[in-house]
Amino acid sequence: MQYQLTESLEDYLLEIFIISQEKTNIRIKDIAKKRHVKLPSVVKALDELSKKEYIDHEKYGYVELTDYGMEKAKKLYDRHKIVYRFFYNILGLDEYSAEQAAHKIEHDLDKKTITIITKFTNFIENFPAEIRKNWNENFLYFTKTGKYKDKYFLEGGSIMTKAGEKSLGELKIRERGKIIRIKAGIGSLKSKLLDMGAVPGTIVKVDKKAPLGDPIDIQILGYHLTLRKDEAENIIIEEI
Amino acid sequence: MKVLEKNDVIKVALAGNPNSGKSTIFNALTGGHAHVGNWPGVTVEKKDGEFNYSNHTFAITDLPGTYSLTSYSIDERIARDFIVREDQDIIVTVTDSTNLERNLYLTISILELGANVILDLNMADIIEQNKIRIDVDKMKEVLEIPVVLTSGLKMTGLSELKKRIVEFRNNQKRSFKIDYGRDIEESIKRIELELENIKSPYPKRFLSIKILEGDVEIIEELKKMGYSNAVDTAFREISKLEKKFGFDIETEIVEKRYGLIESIIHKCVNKAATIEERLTTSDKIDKILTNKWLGIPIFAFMLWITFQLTFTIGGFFADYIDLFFGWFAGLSSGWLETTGAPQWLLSFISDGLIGGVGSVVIFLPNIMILFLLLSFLEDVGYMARAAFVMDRIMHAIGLPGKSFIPMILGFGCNVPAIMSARTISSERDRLLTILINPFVSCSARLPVYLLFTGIFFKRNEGLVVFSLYSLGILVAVLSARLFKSTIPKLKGPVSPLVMELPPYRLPSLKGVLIHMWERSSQFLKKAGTIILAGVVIVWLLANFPLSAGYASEASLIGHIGKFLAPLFKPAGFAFWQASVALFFGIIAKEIVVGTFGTLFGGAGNLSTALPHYFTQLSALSFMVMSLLYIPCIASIGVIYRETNSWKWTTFSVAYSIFIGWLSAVVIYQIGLIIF
Ligand SMILES: Nc1nc2c(ncn2[C@@H]2O[C@H](COP(=O)(O)OP(=O)(O)OP(=O)(O)O)[C@@H](O)[C@H]2O)c(=O)[nH]1
Repeated sequence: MQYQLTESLEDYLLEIFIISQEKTNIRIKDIAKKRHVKLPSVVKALDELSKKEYIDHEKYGYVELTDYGMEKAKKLYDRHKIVYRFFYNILGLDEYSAEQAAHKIEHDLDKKTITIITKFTNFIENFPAEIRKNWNENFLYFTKTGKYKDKYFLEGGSIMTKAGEKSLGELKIRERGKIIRIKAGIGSLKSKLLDMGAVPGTIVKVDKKAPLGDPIDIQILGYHLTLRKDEAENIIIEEI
Repeated sequence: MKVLEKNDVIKVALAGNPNSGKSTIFNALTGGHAHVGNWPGVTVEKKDGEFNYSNHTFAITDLPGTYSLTSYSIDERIARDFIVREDQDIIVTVTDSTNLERNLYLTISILELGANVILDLNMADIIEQNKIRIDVDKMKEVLEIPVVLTSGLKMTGLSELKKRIVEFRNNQKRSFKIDYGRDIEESIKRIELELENIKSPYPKRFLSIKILEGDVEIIEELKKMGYSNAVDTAFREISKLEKKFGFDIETEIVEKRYGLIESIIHKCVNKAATIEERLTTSDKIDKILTNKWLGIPIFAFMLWITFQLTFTIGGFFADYIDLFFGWFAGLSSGWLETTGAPQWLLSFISDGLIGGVGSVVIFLPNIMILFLLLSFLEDVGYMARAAFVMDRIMHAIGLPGKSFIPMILGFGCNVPAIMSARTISSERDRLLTILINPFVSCSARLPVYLLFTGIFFKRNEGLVVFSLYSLGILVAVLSARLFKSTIPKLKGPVSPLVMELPPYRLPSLKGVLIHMWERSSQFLKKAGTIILAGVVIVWLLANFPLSAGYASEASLIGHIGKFLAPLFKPAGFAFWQASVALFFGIIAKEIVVGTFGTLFGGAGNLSTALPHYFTQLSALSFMVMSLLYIPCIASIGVIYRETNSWKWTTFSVAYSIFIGWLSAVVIYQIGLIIF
């Protein structure tokens, strides 16, 4: 039973499986069309497959997967999907390139590699949405710029504040804090805050809140600065 | 090479933080004579002035008030580009010397650009009061640039400033170096190597630092110029440094600058004003003006006062202006008649030209008073508080706190209201505020409501008028929502609020007057020409062909009315007089009433004539149309003036006509079903 399939036969099997998901009666010409090949080559491949009992087919009739073929095809399909997900979901390639890449390498990977790619893909995909998003953003940014969009990402810091740290938004009126850092991943707002003097080490004091509770007014470097709470959340401080 | 020219005119630019007293210094130097325009392509105000001093002519430009030179906002980009590209002889950085900790940051940034800088320590009168002593000589020594103490308010130190400008105008521009520490310095060197031979007005070191800071604009520009290698190198350096030290390079660089400032202040200032000292009075005032319970009522009161003064006093003068132009038109047509000029020429001069100029000038009292008050509130420092207090409410409909003022002023007149949107600094928020403003029902629409409710809704006049005002607000809010979710340029969250609350300061009357006049004259120049043109066109349409009577069925406008009338069939008023009245309403909404008067044989006849044409329901739909379609030519003029774009102006006009028509139709059709 341990028939080794060639790459091309694996591809045929996979294609038949995919077509069979869409329609019940598969004709040879459906396969030929999908794979952009001439009918005779399809016939030749199908003969091979049917010899190995993956499919049933009579000349110029319908093609049908055997139970055994079905099982094998599903495996191939899962393998293809996982490699595709790896390229698409994790590495962020576009659909087309991910599909192409998956086609190219799926046959050459041994079981161990496939397993680890599967696990890795699941590992990342199962992150909580928030972390996942952050992960994706950072990776995308990294591929473009070579730098982490959010350096505290490495410490999980941009989502969770560390012990002893608070965001400026959490301070009450008249409470003071020392700035530790500005959260990253907030684009030019970070530059703006830094330029306005919100650099690490600076002492800030919440002076008042607007009548409706938002925005807040802080004292920093000897002047008054207004921020909405949303903006203040990005300034991480240590209470003093 | 340009020595000759340099002797002739000294080019000076003023840079500084908002509220550092830059405009005051500018006015003091130029004596208030400025050419006010826009920076090319954007609606950021640009002021140029000229003055002479000891055989030299100074050409001085007031840069937008900014805190730094990153590409965070359009203002900063303008300032940065101007400093490097326009080849200024000298940049004067105006600083509020009571708050050098923050104010010097801009000066340092400009020095890093490699400009020839004079540091102006302004507000000398206040530091004297607070017994702060700044060692000017020491500061010169530390920064290696001329330093001058001035007071824009007391007009001191100005001649020294001028003297220094003349003296240092030919100074070599040299780049000022901050030591960013060994590791960052090494990275800078490596990036500089990649920038060998670059043809850029910016110094190499400045570019390298900006890439390390992640300045998007500079990075894009370098990539376009083919220096992607430098950018790549910078990114490699960044990740190397960040891995090695675990700090954020951008933060580190800014921190170094602030560190430098701290050490300068430590060396040169005997004591910094503590925030308590500097702000006691100001903070006490704020305890009341932004108080939890009083803040909003006080703001409402300020607004009410502004509204009242603008429209009552303004209205008072407007009436006289109206009388004057009426009298003047009569006088000139009388005089022309004696010369035997043809009738149409008489009418063109008196109704078209004089009437047209009149309809521009008539806005002046409103606008001048409004800007007098707004300039005062702005220079005092209250505007920032108003935004602070109202931000939460406006945020709910996707606008910043500052858009509240234009919304409310719109109830008086959309023209000054749209102009008041200038105080909003974000381009996108300002555009949105302008686009929804026409739906706020201005006072000129009231006569239309009164005419129709008086005839058709005798028993619930108040309710109907109130509903119309509410409908206007509703349409404004919904349109804001719609624009924000559909128009790419307006999409996205409200721009972040990171705003200084400047200390309250008593402005000089002269400063406020100059500020007011600069804005009012802009209205006259740009919006005025459009308004005048519009009035003349409508006059032509109403009078041609000459054989037809004024605005009669046979006149051009009558033809237009007949052509348009079928469009209003689903809204219930498909007769040409209604379309003609709406068309005239574009000049000013209250003219709708006058037009009906002319068309139906006198104002006195309207109460008997109109019921022949309108039902209660179509009267309502007509009022809705009047409420929502283009406010008037003047508002089109200011929309163009303020957006600086025919595209947005056309969009606004088309959108409002469409919404007006749609609402009228929907109300009429629903009415037909219900009744
Ligand atoms: N006491 C004192 N007040 C000053 C001085 N210079 C300006 N002011 C006041 O400070 C306030 C702000 O001055 P502006 O000249 O409008 O400041 P600006 O830097 O042009 O501000 P923007 O127009 O917002 O860019 C005004 O109320 C001035 O009257 C000064 O030397 N001493």
